[in-house]
Amino acid sequence: MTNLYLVEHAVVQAEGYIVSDMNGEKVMMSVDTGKYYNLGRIGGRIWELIAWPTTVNRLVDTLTSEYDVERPVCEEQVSGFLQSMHKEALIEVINLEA
Amino acid sequence: MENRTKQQWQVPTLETLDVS
Repeated sequence: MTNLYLVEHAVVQAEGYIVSDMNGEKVMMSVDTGKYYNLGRIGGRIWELIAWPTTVNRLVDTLTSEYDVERPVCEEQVSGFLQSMHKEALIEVINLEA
Repeated sequence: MENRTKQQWQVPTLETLDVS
Protein backbone atom coordinates (compact mmCIF):
# COMPACT_ATOMS: atom_id res chain seq x y z
CA MET A 1 0.00 0.00 0.00
CA THR A 2 1.43 3.35 -0.94
CA ASN A 3 1.87 6.14 1.54
CA LEU A 4 0.52 9.24 -0.15
CA TYR A 5 0.86 11.50 2.83
CA LEU A 6 -0.01 15.13 2.17
CA VAL A 7 -0.80 14.65 -1.51
CA GLU A 8 -4.01 16.64 -1.12
CA HIS A 9 -2.25 19.44 0.76
CA ALA A 10 0.06 22.33 0.09
CA VAL A 11 3.38 22.64 1.88
CA VAL A 12 5.75 25.52 2.53
CA GLN A 13 9.10 26.01 4.23
CA ALA A 14 8.91 26.65 7.96
CA GLU A 15 10.84 29.61 9.32
CA GLY A 16 13.63 29.66 11.87
CA TYR A 17 16.34 27.62 10.18
CA ILE A 18 19.80 28.44 8.91
CA VAL A 19 20.19 26.88 5.48
CA SER A 20 23.36 26.35 3.49
CA ASP A 21 24.64 24.40 0.50
CA MET A 22 27.45 21.91 1.06
CA ASN A 23 28.77 20.05 -1.96
CA GLY A 24 25.41 20.20 -3.68
CA GLU A 25 23.50 19.06 -0.62
CA LYS A 26 21.24 21.27 1.45
CA VAL A 27 22.03 21.39 5.15
CA MET A 28 20.00 23.16 7.80
CA MET A 29 20.28 23.95 11.46
CA SER A 30 17.67 24.89 14.00
CA VAL A 31 18.98 27.50 16.40
CA ASP A 32 16.16 26.68 18.83
CA THR A 33 16.73 22.93 19.12
CA GLY A 34 20.38 22.61 18.13
CA LYS A 35 19.45 20.02 15.55
CA TYR A 36 21.25 19.75 12.26
CA TYR A 37 19.60 18.34 9.14
CA ASN A 38 20.99 17.11 5.86
CA LEU A 39 18.34 17.11 3.15
CA GLY A 40 20.66 15.70 0.51
CA ARG A 41 20.58 16.70 -3.14
CA ILE A 42 16.98 15.81 -3.99
CA GLY A 43 15.70 17.00 -0.63
CA GLY A 44 17.47 20.28 -1.20
CA ARG A 45 15.70 20.71 -4.51
CA ILE A 46 12.38 19.96 -2.84
CA TRP A 47 13.20 22.58 -0.20
CA GLU A 48 13.83 25.16 -2.92
CA LEU A 49 10.54 24.32 -4.63
CA ILE A 50 8.50 24.91 -1.46
CA ALA A 51 9.81 28.40 -0.75
CA TRP A 52 6.21 29.41 -1.40
CA PRO A 53 3.09 27.33 -0.67
CA THR A 54 3.04 24.56 -3.26
CA THR A 55 0.72 21.62 -3.70
CA VAL A 56 2.36 18.23 -3.53
CA ASN A 57 0.98 17.40 -6.96
CA ARG A 58 2.66 20.46 -8.44
CA LEU A 59 5.86 19.58 -6.62
CA VAL A 60 5.80 16.09 -8.13
CA ASP A 61 5.05 17.57 -11.57
CA THR A 62 8.22 19.65 -11.36
CA LEU A 63 10.39 16.84 -10.03
CA THR A 64 9.28 14.34 -12.67
CA SER A 65 10.08 16.92 -15.35
CA GLU A 66 13.58 17.43 -13.96
CA TYR A 67 14.50 13.92 -12.82
CA ASP A 68 14.39 10.47 -14.36
CA VAL A 69 11.70 8.96 -12.16
CA GLU A 70 8.23 7.56 -12.73
CA ARG A 71 5.44 9.62 -11.23
CA PRO A 72 4.02 6.98 -8.83
CA VAL A 73 7.49 6.32 -7.44
CA CYS A 74 8.23 10.02 -7.10
CA GLU A 75 4.88 10.70 -5.45
CA GLU A 76 5.34 7.99 -2.86
CA GLN A 77 8.94 8.85 -2.02
CA VAL A 78 8.32 12.58 -1.87
CA SER A 79 5.30 12.14 0.38
CA GLY A 80 7.39 10.00 2.73
CA PHE A 81 10.11 12.65 2.75
CA LEU A 82 7.57 15.38 3.48
CA GLN A 83 6.19 13.31 6.33
CA SER A 84 9.67 13.21 7.88
CA MET A 85 10.03 16.96 7.35
CA HIS A 86 6.65 17.60 8.91
CA LYS A 87 7.52 15.54 12.00
CA GLU A 88 10.59 17.70 12.49
CA ALA A 89 8.54 20.88 11.94
CA LEU A 90 10.67 21.81 8.93
CA ILE A 91 7.58 22.46 6.82
CA GLU A 92 4.13 23.87 7.36
CA VAL A 93 1.12 22.09 5.90
CA ILE A 94 -1.83 23.95 4.44
CA ASN A 95 -5.13 22.11 4.16
CA LEU A 96 -6.61 23.20 0.85
CA GLU A 97 -10.12 22.19 1.89
CA ALA A 98 -10.15 24.56 4.85
CA MET B 1 8.92 17.06 -28.46
CA GLU B 2 10.88 17.40 -25.24
CA ASN B 3 14.41 16.08 -25.53
CA ARG B 4 15.97 17.39 -22.34
CA THR B 5 18.27 15.06 -20.42
CA LYS B 6 16.85 14.41 -17.00
CA GLN B 7 18.95 14.22 -13.87
CA GLN B 8 19.43 11.01 -11.93
CA TRP B 9 16.85 10.48 -9.22
CA GLN B 10 17.72 9.46 -5.67
CA VAL B 11 15.33 8.67 -2.85
CA PRO B 12 15.04 11.88 -0.80
CA THR B 13 16.09 11.28 2.78
CA LEU B 14 16.25 13.46 5.87
CA GLU B 15 19.30 12.95 8.07
CA THR B 16 19.21 14.46 11.52
CA LEU B 17 21.99 15.09 13.99
CA ASP B 18 21.70 16.64 17.42
CA VAL B 19 24.78 18.84 17.47
CA SER B 20 24.65 19.64 21.17
